[in-house]
This record gives sequence, structure tokens and C-alpha cells, in this order.
Amino acid sequence: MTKNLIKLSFVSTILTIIYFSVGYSFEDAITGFTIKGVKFEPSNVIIDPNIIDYLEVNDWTPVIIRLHGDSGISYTLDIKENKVIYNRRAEFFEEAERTVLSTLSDEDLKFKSKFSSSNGFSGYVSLAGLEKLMKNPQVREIVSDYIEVKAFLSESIPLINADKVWNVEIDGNNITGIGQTICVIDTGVNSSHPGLAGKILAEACFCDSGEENGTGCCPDGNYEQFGDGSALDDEGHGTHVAGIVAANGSLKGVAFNANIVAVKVLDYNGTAHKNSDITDAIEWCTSNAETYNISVISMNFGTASLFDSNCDATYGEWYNATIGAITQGIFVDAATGNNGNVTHIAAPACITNVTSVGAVYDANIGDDVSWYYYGNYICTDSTTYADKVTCFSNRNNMTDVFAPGSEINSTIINGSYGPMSGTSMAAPHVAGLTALMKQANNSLTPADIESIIIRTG
Amino acid sequence: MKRKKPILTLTGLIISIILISIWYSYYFSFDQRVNRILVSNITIDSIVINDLKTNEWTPVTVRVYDEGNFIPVPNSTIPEIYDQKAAYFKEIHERIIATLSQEDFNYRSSFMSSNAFYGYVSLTGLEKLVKNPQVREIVSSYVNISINDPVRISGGPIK
Repeated sequence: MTKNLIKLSFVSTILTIIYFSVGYSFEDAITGFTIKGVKFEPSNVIIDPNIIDYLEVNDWTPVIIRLHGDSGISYTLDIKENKVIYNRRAEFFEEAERTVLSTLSDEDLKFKSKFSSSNGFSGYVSLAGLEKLMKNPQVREIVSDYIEVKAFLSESIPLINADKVWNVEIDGNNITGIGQTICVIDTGVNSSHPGLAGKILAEACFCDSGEENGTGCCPDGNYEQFGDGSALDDEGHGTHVAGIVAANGSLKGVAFNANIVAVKVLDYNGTAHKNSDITDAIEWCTSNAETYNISVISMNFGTASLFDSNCDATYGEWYNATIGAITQGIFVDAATGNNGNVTHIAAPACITNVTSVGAVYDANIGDDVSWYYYGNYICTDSTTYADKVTCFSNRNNMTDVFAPGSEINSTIINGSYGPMSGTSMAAPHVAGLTALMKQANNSLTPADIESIIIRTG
Repeated sequence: MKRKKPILTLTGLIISIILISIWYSYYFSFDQRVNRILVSNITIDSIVINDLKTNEWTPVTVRVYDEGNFIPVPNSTIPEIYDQKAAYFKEIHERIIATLSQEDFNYRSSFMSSNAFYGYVSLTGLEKLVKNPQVREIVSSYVNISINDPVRISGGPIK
């Protein structure tokens, strides 16, 4: 994995250098260009400059060919009907793809795959093929497929089908979380991490370390802080969580084009001491929802006390704060905790309207897998496989959904990528998924989203 | 006989002072103050009392009775109503906080979605709060929250 990342980073760097040194742009491409002495006339087809660079030195280059025209068939809120619609759209796209492919020979294109959910296909194109495609009025855009060859969250993203959703296009945009913001209430975020840079729209901190004299665990030493740097991560957990939701570097998060608002409530030990900090954080996200288009609040921590029924009364202010968020259309999820308890879950996951998320494996990672917390044994799974509930995951009849939470690769505080496990890694998968759903249909309520996730698994 | 009168008067004075001191220390002892707090109609978290036995201050959430006067501005959106209600709550909280000195209460924040506020209270502050008819409940703000993420140390290749 690390080697692949290094290779990808190297290739990206080389591509960037070539791109800037050659000085091509999309505008240059559509106004005409030359490859190996062959002059390409101006065309309405948008072409990725990387393709020009690659074909200058190679006979073939991997491409995605996007075609004009949409099926005109839109998805509805009815899941069953949407399956029929999906197939009808796929038929429409297939017909368009067939027409374009019929104009190309084996010397032009080595066909790789067709897309069922968007109007396009992929393959390796030659210089001759590019010439033909550039003249085809059905072709809208040709982009390098290298950009699609990227590391993502190991097996977890395919398991929740997020990568399939990325290829779905609505109103000309792929469903990647565009325009959505997730409020991550955690230890903060390393906003300079390459995978998160430019994604952190706002920061705040509510972190009362327990002194009445006004000191706290916010970066400036106070118990409240706002603005750039106020959610500086000094533990690493929040950075990892934010990456699962929306990293957009050499590793892709579930909603990699979504943005993050980071609210720090946990100190450098990953602990919080005052329940008012959580209330303040939820309320801050809610009152800033319009400003930053926050559609999701994700809380990936839990109380030491576990509950076998709702904890609305015990944490009355948390309950009211989540109601305030949900009534404004903000989806709220929380991790169930990692005690391996099969009858009780932690707060705030136990609050009635919060979507509680447990953890499953995303793949077979071996047999007799034992889990520990600070040297304390939690449990052992004799076998592991995708979708199996991890033994460390708290769960009971209040647990709403399960998502991958075992050794999930994401952004590490030191600027690299690495694995972490826990229901804390599961809940951000659901948060990211929600951002994708909200981009696809902004009118979905939190209840709709939870219902869809539960029904579709 | 006449000579003994000043002595008796002095003795009586000393005894009175001692009795008053005993009564005063008893009346204002921690336990008595706590007892008077506990017999009020307000629900108080035992953690608050226990913490004040050893600390001068303890973090509390003060839950307040709703006065039932909130009327949203007509045609307001849900976010606008949320803000209006937060302002309504804050006004109530400020009236209560105004009855407390800096020795009584170290105010931190006023919740927007609950009729409650948060801060550090001293014993004298607690005594004042329990007498306030607007206060419904005083609960400890201590919470033990962690991320306790598990680590795999056996089974299969470790990443």
C-alpha cells in the first residue's frame, strides 16, 4: 500500500511538472494542438492535457470518454422505482456508447469498460483514435483515466458502493459530495494535510479541561476558540475521521469533493470532560449550517457509560441540540463505541434521533483477530470477512447501521496515510455517504437518509 | 451582692457569645448548608454536592423552567425560529445570572436549544440558585468521553 502511494505520489509529481512545463491548458487543447507532428484542429471536445502529454511519448493512453446527452430520466425517492430507472438509463447510455464505438477500430481504441450510470466509457486510446474522437459530435470530453487510478480507503469504499456513486452524474456533476459540508466534532483536524488542504471551511473549539479559572484545551489555552487554527488536531483522531469523510489526495474519502467544518471538543488524550462542550459544538454547527451548507454532523466518540435504551433524559441538552439540528435538515450520526458490548451502546449514539453506527469488517483480514485497547483485551474474532460485525463494536437494538471500521486507511496527523480501527471509523463512512445522498437530492430529510441506508444496506 | 452583678453580666455575655458561635458554626457548617440546599424543590445532582466537599467550584448545567412566553416572529424560517428561541433562552438565563456574583458563579455558556446554561458554581452560588424559583434542576457537567479506538495485535498480517 505504502509502495503504491509512493508510486502514485511520484507519478503525480512527474505529471504536475510535465503539465506546468509544457504549459497546456484545457483552453489550449480545444483551440488546437500538435502531438508527434500531427496537428489537431480546434474542436468542441474538451480534452485533458495529460492525454496530450502521454501520447507524445506513448502509443496508447488510458482515457474516459464522456458523451453528450443525458437519458432525461431522473431518479425519484422510491428505491424500487429507482432500480428500474437505473436500468433504463443504462440502456440509453449503452446505445450511445455503441454508436461511438462503431466508429473506432482496434487500432483506435482498446475498449475497457462501459458505464451503466453515466454516458461514457473507458479504454486505451491511440493518436489515430484521438483524432476520430475529437471529430465525433457525440463526444463531449476526453479525460485521462490515470486520475481514476487512485488509492482509496482500501476495501471500505467499494463495500459501501461509494465508488459506484462517484460515477453517477447529476446536473453535469458527479456525485462526490460537491457543495456539501460535514461538521466533524472530534479532536480537531490537521488542515495542512495534503489530503485535506483547502477543504476546511471553518474551525471552532469547545474544550473545557476542567479548570474554573477559564483555561481549557483549545489550542490557545482557552475553553473556547474560533477561527483558523482553533481546531488544530493534537491527537490525530479527528484528522483520520475527516479523511474518511472527504480526503482528496492520493487517497480518496467517501465524499472526496465535500468540505469539512472542524470542531474540536476532545483534548490531546482524546477525551472530553464537560458535556456542555458537546452541546455547544452541536449548536455551533447548527447555527452555522446555512453559512457553510452543513448537511451532516458526525460525532465519533462516546461516553464511558453505556445504555441499553435511549439516553435522551440523561443527556437532555445533547438531545435538544440534535433535535435542533435534525429539524433543520442536518443528519447527525455517532459511533456506538468499542467495548464489545452486545446490549449497550455509548452516548451520543443512544440519543433517539441520532443515527448510531457500529463497525463491520470490509474484508477478510485473517483468523483469530484479537483487539485491545491500551493493553486491555477486548475480544477476538475467530474469522473475519466483509460485512461481518467486528467483535469490538458495541451494538444492540438501537444500533441503526453498520459500516466499515476495521483498519481503515485515512489521513494521519503527520501528513501521511495509515490505518485506524473502531466505530469512530465506521460513522464517518455514513457521514460521507449522507453527503453523497444530499448532493444527489438535497430535499432528503435525515429520516429519509437513515431509512434509505437501512433499507439498501 | 451588688459587687457580683458585673461578674454575672460578664459571664452571661461570654456564655451568650459561645452559644451564638456554636449556633453560627452549626448553622453555617457545610452539612447544614447542604441540607438546606437539598430540602429545596430543586433537583440537584449528588455529584455536584460531593464535588463541593473537596473543591471550591464545580461545573454544572443549570436547567431552567420555561416561562412559556416564546412566540416566534410570524413567517420565520426554521433556522430563524431556532435563533429567536436561543435569544429568548439567553434573556432568561441572563436574568438569573444577574442575581449571582463572581464568587457565586463563573458563567461559561448559554445553550441555544435548551433552556439551560453552564458554568462553575460555588457553595454560595448553589445556595442562591436553589432559592431561585426559575431554576428547575442543577446537574453536574462532568462527563467521561473518550475515543477508545481498539488496536489489533494478533491474527492475520498486521498493517
